[in-house]
Amino acid sequence: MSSTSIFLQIIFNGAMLGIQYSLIAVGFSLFFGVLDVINFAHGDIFMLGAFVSLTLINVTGLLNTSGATYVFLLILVIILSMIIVGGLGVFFERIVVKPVSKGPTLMSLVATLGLGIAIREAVRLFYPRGSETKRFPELLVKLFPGKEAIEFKGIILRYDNLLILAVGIIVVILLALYINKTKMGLTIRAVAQDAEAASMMGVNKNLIIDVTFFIGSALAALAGFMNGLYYNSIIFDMGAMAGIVGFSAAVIGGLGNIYGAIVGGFLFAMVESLSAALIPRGSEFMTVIAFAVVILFLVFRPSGILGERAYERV
Amino acid sequence: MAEMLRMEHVTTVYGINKMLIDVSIKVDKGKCVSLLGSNGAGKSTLIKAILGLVKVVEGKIYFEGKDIIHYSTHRVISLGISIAPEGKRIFPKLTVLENLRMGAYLVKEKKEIERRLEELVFPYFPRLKERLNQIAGTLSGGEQSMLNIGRALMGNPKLMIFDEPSFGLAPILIQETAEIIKKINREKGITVLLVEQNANMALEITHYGYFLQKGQIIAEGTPEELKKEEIIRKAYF
Repeated sequence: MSSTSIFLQIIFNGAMLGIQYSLIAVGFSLFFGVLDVINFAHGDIFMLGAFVSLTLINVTGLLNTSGATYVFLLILVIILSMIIVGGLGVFFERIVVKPVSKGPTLMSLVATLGLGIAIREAVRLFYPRGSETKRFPELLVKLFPGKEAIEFKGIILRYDNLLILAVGIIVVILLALYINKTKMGLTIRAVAQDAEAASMMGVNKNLIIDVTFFIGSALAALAGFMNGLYYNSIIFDMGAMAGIVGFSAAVIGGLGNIYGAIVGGFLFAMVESLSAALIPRGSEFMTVIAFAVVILFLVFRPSGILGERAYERV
Repeated sequence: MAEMLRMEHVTTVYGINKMLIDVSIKVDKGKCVSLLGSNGAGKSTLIKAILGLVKVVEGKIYFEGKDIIHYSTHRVISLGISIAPEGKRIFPKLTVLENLRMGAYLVKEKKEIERRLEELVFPYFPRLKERLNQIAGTLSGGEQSMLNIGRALMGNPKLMIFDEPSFGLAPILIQETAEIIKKINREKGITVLLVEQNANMALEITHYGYFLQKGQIIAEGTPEELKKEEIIRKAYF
């Protein structure tokens, strides 16, 4: 393997993880924007995405089909899991997150952490053999029998990973268009800047908060599905770390800024991927190194890469 | 004369303090009514009571005969009330055009939004037309207050509430703002409730006024009557 292809492979692996982190981080930023709350249960919503999509794969009998039916069912599984988990996100927002968001910050911190633990333990207790690691099947291999991956300039690309990258890029573009070009997107931005002023324009704030939690949770669910596909295994507590990483990515990018969240997610993943490859025994320390970068950001640029500086807020 | 807004014996509470005590005001259709009072007199609380943002413990508020006391803010607005809120409550990171669009949030048809821009906003604020794509937070203070009023006009309201429009403006801009409020009332026939600390400016353009002190209405009348009131003369003239 040439050094160029090693470098490309690192970038590609980083992009795989980066797209997942970004999709989680976007939720943190959206929620912080409209409710001024940091939802620490968001990582467990990501986990729910993985479990709901695995359940749907089994229920629909996806793996026993082929051809056009297979493609149709696969798309259905992805969209349905996003809708179900998006709905659950709205449900949790209404019963826990919004009621505590008006109280002191400490209260919402404890309440959302507690909600996360409750979701996690519910999956462990009520999902069949929920405390064990579950195998998440490979999906695109079915369409290209006999070949698991393609080679491109000396780097190995699994079909499933290409699916992750393609879907991720499409979703990020759609999200940017939605936020920037639609009336709902405009309203979400307005509520994030001044919720009371927005309600003085006739905006039903509660509706916008619901929409925001639906979108954020659906994106986290998609990330959960991708994570299952990437590692081919899922477990009930996978959301704990993912939540912290997603939150860190949102902070690096500038909490409240969704483009910042996307950049932050990719940056975090690239640091992980580079340190795993370039530092001896780096894969053991990659997360430590990535969090060290987070800490450096907190010290030297606390408002994040794309976050507004203090003078702009005045 | 048909009445537009009526508050009857309204009392509000914040913590253990009564912010408004037994306040009754009436705004007739087509009129320009002012609510005067110094800082902390309860003027902002009165607006918040209309908008459903503070708890009213006693009394009634009617808009066109409808009791709106349990309405949430967005429902009150949907009845045909617009507000140009105090301070610079524009959306600083949206463009001027996006801010104006938010003012017409309840309008679905694009053509109607265009019509309101052309007929309600640009004639009064030609400067905003030149700056449609500028980020609102980068406008000057005077331009921001124009945008604040323009945005409220986009709601094409029956009743328009101005909350301290003169606050923080240079004298010449205060005069300009007063003229615009007068035109909105006289030319467009929009009923106005003008909440102001600056009694000189407010009494110049209004038909009727109320004077609020420590949460209570202590005087009311036409501008001529109010100017004669001892208590207001002491405070203002």
